[in-house]
Amino acid sequence: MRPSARARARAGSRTRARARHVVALATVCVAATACAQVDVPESLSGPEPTMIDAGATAPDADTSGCDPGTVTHSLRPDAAAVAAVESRTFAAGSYMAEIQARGRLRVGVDTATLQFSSVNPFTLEFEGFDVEIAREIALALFGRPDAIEYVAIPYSQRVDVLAAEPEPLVDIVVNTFTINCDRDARIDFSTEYFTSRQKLLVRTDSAARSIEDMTAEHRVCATANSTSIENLAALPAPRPEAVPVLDQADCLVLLQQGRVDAISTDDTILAGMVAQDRNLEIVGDGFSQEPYGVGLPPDRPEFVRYVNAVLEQVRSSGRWTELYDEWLFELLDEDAEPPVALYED
Amino acid sequence: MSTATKAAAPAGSLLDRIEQTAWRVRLPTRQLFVTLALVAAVALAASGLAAGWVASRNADTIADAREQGLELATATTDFRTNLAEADALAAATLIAGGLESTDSRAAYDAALLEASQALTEAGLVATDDDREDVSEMASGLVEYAGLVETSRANTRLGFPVGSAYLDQARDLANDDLIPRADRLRRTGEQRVARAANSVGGAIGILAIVLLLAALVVLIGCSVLIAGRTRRVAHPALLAATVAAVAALALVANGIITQSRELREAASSDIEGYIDANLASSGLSGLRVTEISAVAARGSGAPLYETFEKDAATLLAELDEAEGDSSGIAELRGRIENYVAAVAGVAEADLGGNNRRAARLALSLEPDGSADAYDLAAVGPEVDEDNDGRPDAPVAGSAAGNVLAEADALEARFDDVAAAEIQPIVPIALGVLAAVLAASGILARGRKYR
Repeated sequence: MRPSARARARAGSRTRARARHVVALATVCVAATACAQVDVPESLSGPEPTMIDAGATAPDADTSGCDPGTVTHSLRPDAAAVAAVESRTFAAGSYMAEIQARGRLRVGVDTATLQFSSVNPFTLEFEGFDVEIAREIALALFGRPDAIEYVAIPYSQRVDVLAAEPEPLVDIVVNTFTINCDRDARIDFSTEYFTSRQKLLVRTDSAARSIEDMTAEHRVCATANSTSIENLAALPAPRPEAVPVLDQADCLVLLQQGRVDAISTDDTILAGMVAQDRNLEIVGDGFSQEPYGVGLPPDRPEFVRYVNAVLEQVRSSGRWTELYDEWLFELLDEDAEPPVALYED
Repeated sequence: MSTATKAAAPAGSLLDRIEQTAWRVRLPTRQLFVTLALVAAVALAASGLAAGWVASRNADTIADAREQGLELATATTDFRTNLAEADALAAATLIAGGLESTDSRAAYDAALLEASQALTEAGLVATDDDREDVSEMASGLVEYAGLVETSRANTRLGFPVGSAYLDQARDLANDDLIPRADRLRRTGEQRVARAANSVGGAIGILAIVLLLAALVVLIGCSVLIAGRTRRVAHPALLAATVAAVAALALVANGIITQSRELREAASSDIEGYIDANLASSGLSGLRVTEISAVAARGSGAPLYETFEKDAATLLAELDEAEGDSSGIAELRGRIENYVAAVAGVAEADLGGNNRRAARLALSLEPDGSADAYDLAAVGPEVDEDNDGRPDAPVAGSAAGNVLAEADALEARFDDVAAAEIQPIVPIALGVLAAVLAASGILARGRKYR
């Protein structure tokens, strides 16, 4: 029996619907294959403006009770300390005994202060006046001057490594370290073993002849957290803009590149810079006294007395003068005597 | 019959139903045939032209993606990789002192030259938007090289300021040059991704749909003519249908293939290439951190910690990296060996023997880290072709993996190029189908008259 017209119409309708579905499906498949989208990655921002990271700012120290006139006074070597220097035997529990048991003295130094503390690029050994002072202390402790573990410390962190809790990271810091009240409140110092003065270093073609010629339009570089930058901030207005950096050598780079007008720090350090670049010169008189001491961990009075006994021996034996002649005479071009040790009991 | 007044034939066979349908169009037959000839010809020609335009547009898009996307991304990635390598070599002078070895110096020069060449290639394909970064990178690279040379000159004279110049060079590389290179690389990646989306996107689909619609129109016309004339399609109409189907198949296949290959390039191959380069840069960065730790001369403990953390990150990233898995696995093993060698350096250094640490870091003593680093960075030195020069690094080293992924990426774009549709082909097929369809319809109409 032939299907009715209505049945045929229904069949035709179903066929057309099926065909539409097939076409639609094919279109969707093609579209899906072709249209699958790739994630477009996000843009990147590129370089960010960088700031000079001058290191952690030292916590405010309580300097009340500190007299700047007597801050260089240090504990007098007692009989035990003098005997220890001579015998190299230390009381049990003393800090010296601890160091001796360890087998080496940990010394915080700098890698780039020529003639005081720097690394000889050919021998890769630390050398300089400060390094020799450390070697004298190691000699006293161990009988050999090379029983030292050198630890390079950025200028801005010299106090922090000695004041670290629960134990200091180094035993001593010998690194053109000026004794002042802020530092004395957090760590101890030996007696003064060298006196420097803060001066100004400029290019030889500079019109500036002293710090007074530096006005608000000038940029003067100094190390962050140093007495030099504090002294610059204390100058009368219109004072120059102080540019802080992590290390002294960074200042020399900035001056050579013309990015600062001058460097102001201790004349001893500036002299080391002149030795590296004869197109620079130190100008003007010193505008501050910078007494250098050996930085020592706090609350170890027996160690302070012991180091002072060693320094006394260095002064009195003529070793100080030998070291000065070897490392600094040519640089500073003047005779010098060791500073007189000032004590408190 | 020339009128549209014929009663519909009773429904029966398929042809009957078609005839019934055909007579529902009330136009007179002659007028209907002319109209159908026009509609079919216009639809076929227009869709062919549209497909040709889309093919031409896609070809331009792909060419731009290759030049301004792929080549920009690869050139800036090469720049970054070579700069990182140069930086690692320059950093070694911090612990080697002024007596830098000639091999190290030659490797530094080669890395810097390759960075410079990569920058030239980037400049050739850069758009106006990219030029500022390329220009800054060019002047920055000159400044970087100058700072390194100043550092060397000072160090040779025994001046400690040399290390400060090297620090400044490295700051310039890390804070300015590498971020700019990364930004341009990302711009290149975006262009490839957008090209992939564009080729297979709405415009590509439109071309396929238009061709499909023209084919449907042609079939519809053939059905109407068959209904009015009760005769199967004219040979010219069949030929037109074949041409239209060919155009549709060609265009759909081309667009789908190009889109698929571009998507692979944008989402997988380019990732593999960039991952390989990031592994290479990451390895150079590890070496710089190691050298800096030794150069800190006793205060490098935080840097050794950074090294360990960065090494763990690099190894984890390698686990996720796209690309040749065997090459990545081989590199992973070599990096682990390097990390173990650096642990020996750290042990000596933190134990108070910085000089021994420096000797180990320069591989002046057995089990030193420099040899392990070289093996991971460029692989063993091989001269299989005996030409007196080391062969190119092979997969398994950082540099070898970069080359392998670069080859894979190039091959992918060659596949994209191979699937390119010549715009003239769909246009010709569309016009041919239009002429054949019109002539077939009119010929059938003349016979029917």
